[in-house]
Amino acid sequence: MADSGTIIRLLVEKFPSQVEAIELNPVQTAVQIDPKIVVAFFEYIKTHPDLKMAYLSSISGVDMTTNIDIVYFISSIEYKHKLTVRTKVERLGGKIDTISTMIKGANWFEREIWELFGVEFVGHPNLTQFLLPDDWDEGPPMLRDWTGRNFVKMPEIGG
Amino acid sequence: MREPQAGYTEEFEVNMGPQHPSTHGVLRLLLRMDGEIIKNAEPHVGYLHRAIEKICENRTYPQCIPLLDRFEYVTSMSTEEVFCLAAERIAAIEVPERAEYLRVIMLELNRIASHLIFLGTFSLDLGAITPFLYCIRERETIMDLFEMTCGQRLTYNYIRVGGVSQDIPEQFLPLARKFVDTFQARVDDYEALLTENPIFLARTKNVGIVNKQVCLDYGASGPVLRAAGVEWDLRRDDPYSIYDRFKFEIPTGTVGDVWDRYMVRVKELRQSNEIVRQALDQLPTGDIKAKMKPLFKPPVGEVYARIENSRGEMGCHIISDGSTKPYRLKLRGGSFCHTQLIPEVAPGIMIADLVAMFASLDVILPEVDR
Repeated sequence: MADSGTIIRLLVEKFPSQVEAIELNPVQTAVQIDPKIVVAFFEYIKTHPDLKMAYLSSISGVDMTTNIDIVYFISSIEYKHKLTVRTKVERLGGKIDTISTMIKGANWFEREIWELFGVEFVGHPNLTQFLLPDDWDEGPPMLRDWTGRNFVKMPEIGG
Repeated sequence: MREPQAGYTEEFEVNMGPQHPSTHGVLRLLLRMDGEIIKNAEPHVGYLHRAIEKICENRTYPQCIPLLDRFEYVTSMSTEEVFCLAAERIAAIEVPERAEYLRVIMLELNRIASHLIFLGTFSLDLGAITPFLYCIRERETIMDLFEMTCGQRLTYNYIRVGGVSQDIPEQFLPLARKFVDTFQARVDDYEALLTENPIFLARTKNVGIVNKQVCLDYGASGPVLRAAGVEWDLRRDDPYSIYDRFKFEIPTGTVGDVWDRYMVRVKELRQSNEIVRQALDQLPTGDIKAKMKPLFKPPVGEVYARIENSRGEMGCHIISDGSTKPYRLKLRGGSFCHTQLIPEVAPGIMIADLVAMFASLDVILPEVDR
C-alpha cells in the first residue's frame, strides 16, 4: 500500500506540470489534473505496479458557475488506497476525453454527466438519452441557474 | 408474409419490462433473441428518476434525510448513514459512542432485512414460493423493532447528522436479543429449503457467471464482487463508524455464478447477526446526539463518504459552500454499476437464466435512477 505522499510524488513526477496536489480533507488524497491528460492519467494509475487503481467508485459533475468540475473517485482493490481526481472543463459546450474505453464502468457515469450537465465526452460509445424523459427539451437540468417549466425554489430559512 | 422454412429461425426483439415482475422495479430490457437465447440485452433506465440530487440542492441538510430515504428504500438506514457520515466529516462532528452503536445495530438489522427480501424474491423468481413466506416472517420482527424505535417501517429518518433521532425504547433490547438468538436457526431452515435442493442447483450452478474481470471492469461491489472471489468489504477495507470493534468474516465465492451470489448473501446474514449480537453486548450508556447548534451549517468543504451497503458500495459526495444547504450532492449506489454490466454477461444465456441472473444481482431501480 502506498501512502498519500508516495501517490502524489509518483503522479507529480510522471506529469510534472499537469498534476497538482490539493487539500480536501484528512481522509482523502486528492489531485487536480489538466483535462487534456485524463486518458493518459487513468492509464498510468491503472497500470503502475505500485498504484493499480482500477476500481472506479463514481464520477461526479459539479457546476461551479464559472466552469464544470468533473470529480473521479478511484481506488485500488489490491492495495486498498484511494484517490480523488478533479478536473475542470468549460461550463457551456465543455469537452473532455472519455475514460470508458479503458474503465468500462465509467460509461454510465459519463453518460449521466453528459445528460445532466451538458459535458461532451469525446469518444464515448453511447451518449444517448439516459435518465430524463424521452421528450426532454429544457436543457441540462443540473446547472445551477437552470429553471424549468415547473421548477419551484424553496424559500430560504435561517440564514 | 414469409413462408416458414424448416430449421429456420429469425432474430427478434423482446421488451422485457418496464412492468415485468422479475425486474424488481421499473427496468426495461430490450432483448435481441435468437429463439430462447439472448443475443444482446440493452437496459433502459430512468423511469424512476425523481431528481433527488437536484431537489437536495434546495433543501437544508436535515430536510434532505427523509428524501434520501427514497433513494434506496430497502435499506434506508444505509442511505441516512452515508449522508450523515459525509456531513459529519465536513463539519468535523464527533458522534457519541452510544449513537454509533445504535447506528451499527440498525444498519446491520437493515442489512438482514434487505438480504431477506433478496432471498424471498430471488427464490420466487426461480419458482420456489415457500422461502418468501418465511423470509417475510423474520423481516417482520425487524420492522417491528424499527417501528418501535422511530415510528416507521420503511423510510426511517432515524440517523441524523451528529447522532440518531431518539433512543431505543425499553422493549427493544429483549426483542432484539430474542431475534439474534433464534435467527441462526432460521437461516438453517432457509438453507434446508434451497442450498442443496437439486432443482435450485440446476437453476443456479454455473448460470449467469459474472467473473472477477467483469466485476473489476465495471466497478461491481458488495456481494456481486465477493461472489467472484474478491475479498473486498468497505467495513474492513475503508473503515467507518465503529466497525473496527467487531469481529466478522467476509464470505467469498469462487466463480461468481448465481449460486455463489446466493451463498455469499446467506453467509452475510449470519455475519450481520453476529455483529448485532456483539453490538447489543457492548452497547454503552450516554448521549445519542452530539451537541450542535440548532441550525446545521457546515464550513466550506468537500467529502466523498462511502459505506458497505447490502447492494455494494454506497457513496455520497457532498460539496458545501458554507450555507445550510448542500451545494452539490451526488449519490452512488451499487445497483448503478450492476445494471450496467448486464449487456456484458447476458449474451448467450437463456431468457429464464437472465431472470435468475438479474434477481441474483439484487438490483433495485430507485438506486439507479435517483
